[in-house]
Amino acid sequence: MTESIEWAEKYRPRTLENIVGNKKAVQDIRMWAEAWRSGELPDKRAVILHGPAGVGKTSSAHALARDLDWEVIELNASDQRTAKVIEKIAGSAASMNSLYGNRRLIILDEADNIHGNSDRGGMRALSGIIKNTGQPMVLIANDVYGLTPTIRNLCLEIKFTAVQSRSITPALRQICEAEDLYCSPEAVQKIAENAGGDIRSAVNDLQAAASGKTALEAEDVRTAERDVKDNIFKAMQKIFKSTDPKIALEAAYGLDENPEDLVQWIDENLPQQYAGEDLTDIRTGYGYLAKADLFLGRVRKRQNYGMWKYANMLMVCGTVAAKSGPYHGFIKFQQPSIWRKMGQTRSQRNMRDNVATKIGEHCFESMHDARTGLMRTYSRMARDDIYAVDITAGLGLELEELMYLTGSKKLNKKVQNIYDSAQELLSEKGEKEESKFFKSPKKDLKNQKTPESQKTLESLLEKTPAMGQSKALPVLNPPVLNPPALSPQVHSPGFESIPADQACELKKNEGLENKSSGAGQNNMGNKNDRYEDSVGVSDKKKKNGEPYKKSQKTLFDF
Amino acid sequence: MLKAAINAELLKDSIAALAVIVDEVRFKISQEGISVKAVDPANVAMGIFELRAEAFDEYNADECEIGIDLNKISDLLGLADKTDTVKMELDENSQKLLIDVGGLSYTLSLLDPSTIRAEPRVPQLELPVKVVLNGLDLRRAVKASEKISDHMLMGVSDDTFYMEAKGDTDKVRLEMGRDQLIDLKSGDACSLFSLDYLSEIVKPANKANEVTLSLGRDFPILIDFEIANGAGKVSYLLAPRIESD
Repeated sequence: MTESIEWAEKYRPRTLENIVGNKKAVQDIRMWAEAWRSGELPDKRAVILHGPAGVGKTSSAHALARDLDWEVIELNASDQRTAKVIEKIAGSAASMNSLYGNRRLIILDEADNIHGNSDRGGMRALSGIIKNTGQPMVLIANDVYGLTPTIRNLCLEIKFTAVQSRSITPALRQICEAEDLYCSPEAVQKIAENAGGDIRSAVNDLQAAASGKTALEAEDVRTAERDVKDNIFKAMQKIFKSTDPKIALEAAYGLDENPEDLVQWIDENLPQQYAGEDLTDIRTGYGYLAKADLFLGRVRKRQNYGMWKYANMLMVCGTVAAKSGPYHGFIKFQQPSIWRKMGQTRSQRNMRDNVATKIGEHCFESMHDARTGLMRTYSRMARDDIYAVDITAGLGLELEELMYLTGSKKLNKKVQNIYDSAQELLSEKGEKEESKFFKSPKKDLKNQKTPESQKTLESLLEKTPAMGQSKALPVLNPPVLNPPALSPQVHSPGFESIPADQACELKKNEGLENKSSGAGQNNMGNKNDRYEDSVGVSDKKKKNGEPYKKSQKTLFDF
Repeated sequence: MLKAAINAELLKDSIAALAVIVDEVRFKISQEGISVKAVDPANVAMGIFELRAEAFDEYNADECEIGIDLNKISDLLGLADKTDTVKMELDENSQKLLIDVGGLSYTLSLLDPSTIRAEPRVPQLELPVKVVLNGLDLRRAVKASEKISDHMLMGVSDDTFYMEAKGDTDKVRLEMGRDQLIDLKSGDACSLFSLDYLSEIVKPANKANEVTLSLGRDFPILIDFEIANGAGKVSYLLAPRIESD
């Protein structure tokens, strides 16, 4: 490869004369520079050159310095630009004369990107320097609003616009000539048009298309076409109207949307776009969409984003393939309504999750399981006058949560009464003693150190010395860890507070609870087994003078 | 090729004198010695450094250029005793400098010289005034000025060299007549300099008995002094401040 230098760099304009397009901007720069040359400090000591990428902002700044034989100090985004660095370099450069007796142009490239953690305080330092600078300064930015108002007020704003393709063509032709490259007028035209006003990418495209060639025709350019960011509507058009899956897929790749959003777009529009007498197309389309969704779900679960490509292919190509024939006419594409709905229902969903959490705690279930399964049962019970008060009190529901659970849209007397009685019940219990039945059993267990969450390092560590001494202790009868069984007796006080007609319901719950606590105990026993074992083993090792493995020593050997 | 041995303190001072200007530097090595020209990132201060072969206990070299990270090497020399001898040998194939200090041997990876800023062109300045004074006096004046301001005026009027700093409320001034100076070539000179740079520059000058200042009116200052008993020379050029009011 002989082209080690990028052409965009190699043919960067050296003088303001050669800047392509933006005549007005270049003229403004010259005028401002003349003011500096006159000796007096100009009104605006700095300029901001702003505009899209690749239209010649940086080139103009450097060309200006070259034209006037000014030396250049440049700070760009690759330099660290904290307040300290800016003050040290730009500040010193701005407040001191040049060693060579000429002016010094201070160029801050990508000035709208001085922010974030790494450049903290950079903007403020910059405005301080601009205020007092004794040397001309040029700030370059894509987005002039990325600079603080203080800075904008201090500077003269000069706007650069996209370069017209008819101005790009002659520049490209010059490069072709210099590189000894034949390039057909159509090819040049095509490159210039593709660039979208960005002359730097036009030059890059030319170089890419020309690499390894001595002649360039329009067909060669085709392969070197620039990816242009499509908007979603154009992509949807291609997906729903085209019959070539490849075109649709390319459009989808050009999009700046992830498949999770794209699938919503397709989902929203599929029924309208493929509407007709026969529903086969819609059915097939949704079949593919469902398969794509499987992959999306899997990506979520496994965080393997590589599988996005299958989801993409299924949803896009599937939708294209589902067409039995072309669909003519234009039907407006709709934004996925699910986003709006999700936004609208956020507070309701939060409410649902809160209730589910409370039910889950009550039943030793996860919030998710409570929401998908148990909630229905509780909702039914809460609507029954007999249980409503106890449920409300037992779960500790707030008024809004009760309304949600009973499905009442408006606050009515009935709900209010239930809530009030529940509060009464709670405060009564609080005075005497809490209802054992409705007191969160989790807490109960916690005190007795039985729930799983408590079987942590602490409990193990606490007990270790005792274990070490009484190695021969029967495994199933650990001295301290034995969880007091949650027998019905423990709960018996709870019975009194519950109306007789609920006894049957209670029995059921009791049974459940016993079962669960029993399971907990078993589990506990197992854990203890393992625990004892490991202590035994390591003790043995100790006696044999074997070195332990570090990995086994961790908790149990202390 | 480079094979040299030098007193640790001398090398340390030389490196410190360069570190004032830049962090990374190109060493130009020849049979006569080592030389460096560097300018700071803001193009405000320039350092010209020369250490001739006589300064070394042992010196054997061919022409070459190496890139050195000054922070690394001065860290490393921090471990050396004043009387230690530093032995250096360049491994040209692997681009590494082998440094031996008091029994510790380091392998220092060199920087690619082409990644470091090229040697600057040294401006030809006509500076009418020359002041020769003790390095300590200069340091003292700079230190006093630092306390009240961030810049300092240096000038000569009527055979008196003066250094003056004005803060928002306070002022400090040191005057030195012809008899207090080692030498004076009088003329019209008065320039303002940033103390950020000046205070760094006078640190290495501190040890020199004779420091030569060349001045003009609103012109850069040239600060010269010798190191290694005359076998080396350090010069700094510092651009004047633009007087804002």
